[in-house]
Amino acid sequence: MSGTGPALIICTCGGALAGRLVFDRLAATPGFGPVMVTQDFCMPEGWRRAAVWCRQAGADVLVVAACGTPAATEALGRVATAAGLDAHRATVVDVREACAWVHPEPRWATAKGVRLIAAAAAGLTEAVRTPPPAEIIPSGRVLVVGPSRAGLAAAGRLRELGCQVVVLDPSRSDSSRASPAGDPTSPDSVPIPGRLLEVTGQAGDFTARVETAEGILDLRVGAVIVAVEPPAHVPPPDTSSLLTLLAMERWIATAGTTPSLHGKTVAFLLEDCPWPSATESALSLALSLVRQGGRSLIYYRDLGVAGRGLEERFREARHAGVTFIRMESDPPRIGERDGRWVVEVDVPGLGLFAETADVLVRGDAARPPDLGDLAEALRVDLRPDGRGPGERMPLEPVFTERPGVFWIGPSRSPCTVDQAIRHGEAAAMAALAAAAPGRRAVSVQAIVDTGRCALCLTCLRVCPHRAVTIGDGPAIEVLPAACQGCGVCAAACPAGAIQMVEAPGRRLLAELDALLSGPALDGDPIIMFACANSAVPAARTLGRLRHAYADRILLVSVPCLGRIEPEHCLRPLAAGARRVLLCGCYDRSCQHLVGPRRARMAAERAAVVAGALGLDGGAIQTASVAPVDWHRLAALLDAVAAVAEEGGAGDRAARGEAAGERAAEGSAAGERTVKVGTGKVAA
Amino acid sequence: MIVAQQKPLEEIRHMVAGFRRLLVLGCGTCATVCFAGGEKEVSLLATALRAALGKDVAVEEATVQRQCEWEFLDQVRAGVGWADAVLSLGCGVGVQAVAERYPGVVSLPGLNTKFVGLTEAPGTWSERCLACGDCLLDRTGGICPIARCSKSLLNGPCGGAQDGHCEISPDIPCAWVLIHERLTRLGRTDLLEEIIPARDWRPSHAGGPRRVVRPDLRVLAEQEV
Amino acid sequence: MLTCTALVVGSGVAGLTAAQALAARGLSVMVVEQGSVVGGHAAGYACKAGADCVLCGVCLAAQGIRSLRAAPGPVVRVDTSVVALEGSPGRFTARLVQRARGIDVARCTACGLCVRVCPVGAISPLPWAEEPRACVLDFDACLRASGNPCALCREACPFGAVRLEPGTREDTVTAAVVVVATGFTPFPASAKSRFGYGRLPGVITTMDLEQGLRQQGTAYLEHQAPAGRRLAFVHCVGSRDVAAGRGWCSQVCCPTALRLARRLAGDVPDLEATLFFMDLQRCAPGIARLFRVLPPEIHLVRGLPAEVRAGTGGLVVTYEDLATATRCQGEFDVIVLAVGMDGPPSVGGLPEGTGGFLTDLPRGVVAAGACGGPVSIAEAAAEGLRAAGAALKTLEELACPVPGRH
Repeated sequence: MSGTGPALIICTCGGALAGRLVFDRLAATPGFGPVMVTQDFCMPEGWRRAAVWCRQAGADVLVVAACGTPAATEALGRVATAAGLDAHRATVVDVREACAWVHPEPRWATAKGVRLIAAAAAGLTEAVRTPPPAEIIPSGRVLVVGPSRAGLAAAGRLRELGCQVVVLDPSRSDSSRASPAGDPTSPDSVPIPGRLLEVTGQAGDFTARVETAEGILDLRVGAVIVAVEPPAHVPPPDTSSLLTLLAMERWIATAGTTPSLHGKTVAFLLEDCPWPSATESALSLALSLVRQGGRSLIYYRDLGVAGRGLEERFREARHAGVTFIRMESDPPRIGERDGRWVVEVDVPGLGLFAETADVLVRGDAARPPDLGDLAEALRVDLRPDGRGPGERMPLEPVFTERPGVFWIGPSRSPCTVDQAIRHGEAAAMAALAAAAPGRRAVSVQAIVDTGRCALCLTCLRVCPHRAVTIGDGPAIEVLPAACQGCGVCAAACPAGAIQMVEAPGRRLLAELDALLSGPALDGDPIIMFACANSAVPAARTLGRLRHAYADRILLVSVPCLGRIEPEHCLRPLAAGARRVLLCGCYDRSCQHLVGPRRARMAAERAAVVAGALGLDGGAIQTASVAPVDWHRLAALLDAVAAVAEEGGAGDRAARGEAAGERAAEGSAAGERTVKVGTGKVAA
Repeated sequence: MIVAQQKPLEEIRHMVAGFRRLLVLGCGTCATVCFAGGEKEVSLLATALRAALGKDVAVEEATVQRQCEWEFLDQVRAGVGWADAVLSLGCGVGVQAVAERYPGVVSLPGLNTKFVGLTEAPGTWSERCLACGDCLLDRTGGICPIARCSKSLLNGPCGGAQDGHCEISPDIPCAWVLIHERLTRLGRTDLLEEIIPARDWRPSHAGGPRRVVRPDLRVLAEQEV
Repeated sequence: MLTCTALVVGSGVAGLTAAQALAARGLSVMVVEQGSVVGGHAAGYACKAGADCVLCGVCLAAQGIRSLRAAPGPVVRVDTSVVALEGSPGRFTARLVQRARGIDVARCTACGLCVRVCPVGAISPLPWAEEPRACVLDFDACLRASGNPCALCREACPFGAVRLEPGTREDTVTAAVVVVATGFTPFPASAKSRFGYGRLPGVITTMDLEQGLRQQGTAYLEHQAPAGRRLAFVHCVGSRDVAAGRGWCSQVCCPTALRLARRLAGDVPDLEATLFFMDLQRCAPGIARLFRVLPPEIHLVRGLPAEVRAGTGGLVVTYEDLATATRCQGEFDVIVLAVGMDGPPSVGGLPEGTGGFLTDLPRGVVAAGACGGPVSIAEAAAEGLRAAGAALKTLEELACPVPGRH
């Protein structure tokens, strides 16, 4: 760094911030060298002037106090490029939406601005230089596991887009049932019976270990699409008159016609089956039976018609003579008389209603095959019900936590034919993005300090995106195409061996220390760690709305709450902060899946230590907010400020839980077993 | 790996009372892996101590690769020289190594060294070896009755095991049940028929402090043997 | 005359996802948005999380908007409609009409000086809109519409961003492929006059509630009915209703009504919500679980109301409870009509099927999202990906040069 100290540019937003901020005091923030005051930093003429000034000032660290708009960030990027600054040696501090617009008293708004500017400068001096991007040479081939409708739709689309596709059939069944899409002369269009054993590597460059009849082989693939189906178990016709919907469907599909059903009555029991996929197959079966002169009864409670064209087909079936019987609470009573089934239900308004049927078709949800081994091979977590991944907003409906691995079809959630195909085509496009040939530069977001790494493998176990691997070197390796930059590994590493390019540990601590000193605010500071995916955008909206909140609330942006360590929570309290707030996504909306939970764990640990020191462990608090929900954030900030005002410990007025309470539950340690909160992976 | 656990903060506070310059010294090997004394724990404890002890006490932090090697300890000579006391977040070996290398400095244990064991699951470590000095794992299916049986019995369970759990600590499995299961799976239950004679405990700590000497590895001819 | 490889019409979740996916493949992409801000309907909805996220997908809109900043990104034009679309794969021509916004998006910093000086409040800063973060001038409200020469805003603007000339600008863009992602039109609830929408105070739609919650929080409910704590949600308003000409299930209304009811029950003390439904559609991810464990403040009644009328103590709903086959009446403070989805506003003469949803599109034109049939927000994102793939496929067939392919 040159001897001048970091450079500071202050933008007055065309003078709109005059009277709301004291620019002279911002300019006098200690530690800075050259200072420029401009009024149009985000305009082309403004950033050009700033770039020229920067070059002349010879600055190699730059802080711009401007606004929180993307335009300011873009302008900063242009200035950095023009002035030859590393992207991580320059930053924008939002003094408009985070100070001027939300703190009506210019004195406090300015004081907070000074602290934010000083913190940014302190952080930049600890920033890591941007590492050169890693290069991925994707394989151009995609592995589709399961020649189901969804899988074949994906495979077909991928071939249309010029990708090589290998379709694996883990059911090892006769694959003639589903004829392969695409060019049948191409050797890779026939599903290969085989089992997936392991997938290592990263999106674009996976090695899939596959067991086939010829033995075990390693395939280099750029993406994996899982589209397995329930096993194709077809019971022999006529031996049973109690079938599942799936069995009946497959039986008719294989037999072509069903002479044995002519003139017979078939009852479909869909009472516990509100899925559109069940309605879809029941309707088509019932319709075809009615058209062959038989009789169809459909018992249901909620008819699942939330699929394209299903309501229309429901009406068509009704007109064609299919009988629909809606039932309420009780399940139907099934009996037998003269070799036929008797189905008796209580229909509101009609009373007991009995029908006889020759065949009963139970509409239980098509059970997925046991997915445990497949999920383990892919290192993807299954849902508690044993189905595919998901029920998490960022993953629906085709993604998994592991970049480059997609999961579609009925083994994920019941889906109609139309939906299965649509999801297949969507997954194909997502897979193409990972696998398309051609060199791709991927920015490196985590750097491993090989000297520090103790190879404890904590990172490997906690990484939500399976981006950590044991390489050949003396340290663990982070795969750049898999890494999503959340920093969960860096927070969990006991040796401090992983540095996040966006949020290195020392930078966070330096920022914190700088934030906690500086000109007096209207009360002791409250540190709020804000997730860049949720709390930061919500806070920006508050700023745009000029919704006032306490100026003592100082926001520290982190890529994900999972980046927070106990130390980050403890240090502010030790330095006199009144409260520490960890505000991020909800568990099910976290892009990195574990962020909020890891944050709660860090808060618990910090609360235990704080408690032992006589500090108020209850002052560390976690909360969730959506990026669009500024009302909740406003209420939260008000509540936190109010609690801090009272100075009351353990107050429950604020939303979110105080960490100390939960920590007390988890502190019991076994006689010969050491349990430490920060290391736990299981919930 | 050696597994250790940080002492309660109360105890540490009591221990460091009266010192004005404190060096919190971490260890980058076992103590790091068991989340007891790595760089992050050092930093957390240092922050905690600064807050607890106030401005009159200076707290510095450092972490070495392994506290049980002289050369690594030499790297922090300046810091140790400055301090009145070194609070070692290494195992008991580290604390003593610091004391031996720096005779003029008070060396304090920040950890309780628990056992030789492994990471069962993230956040859980358990004991596997008692360092008895005479390994018999070949006869017990690779499960150590000395470390894992509460009574270190050598020839089958004590009879107090309930549902496969130890009668002393019901939350741990009975080692002999595990041994039996494992040998059954390996088809080697015949090993159980051999009586393991009463042990000679001299190779263990019962024989006094131990030492391993490999003359072939000596660097200096005059090195004391 | 503008050119691009892929033209995306509509900037909702489906359109943004498709545009981003195509741009990431190295294509030049233009997104045309009719409204003043990008993001579509979902960008104006409220978060419905309680203690945890309920997977409503509203964040996906915010995320899609943020992704526009990723490089290489598509070019976005707001306030612009496609009035005609013709041509064949490889050579489509779209005629664009761009309405004057009054404020130059590229030069506005949303500093608010113009908003402050405008004597009639004709300029709004759209603070909850993510992009573009620029003010909008309502020419109809502007004093100049009545001949007044006022130019206070232009004088106040430090950046010269104010353009006081109303009117429209025409442009033509050529594209090899077109992705249509024009979304849906909410069912006009006043068409079902027996529910009193637009006639009885306190009768609102789910769209109103979504937007009200987003902009005003739970205070919106207070505005509808002060101290109103009895809510009724009426499902299938404009869905599964042949008489109303809407013979389809809109798929999203059951989950939406439940999520809204849960959010309100969690945030407003003493609130009770009753859901009147026909068949609960609970297949959406995460929804089956929510219906299984209902909070005690939420009640389910099978049976759609026959009518809503004003009573002495609130709004009186007459319905048949199908579970008991009895005719009942209930009194509520606020009635929320869960309106269904109609087809999109028509675009340049593209063929429309049932309900105005796009169908049988010419080769090279791909529909994405709700304009092809009702979809949830998460499904719309998947639709965007699917459409991007379909558009790429067309380009492959045309042997158009696609970057990143050998």
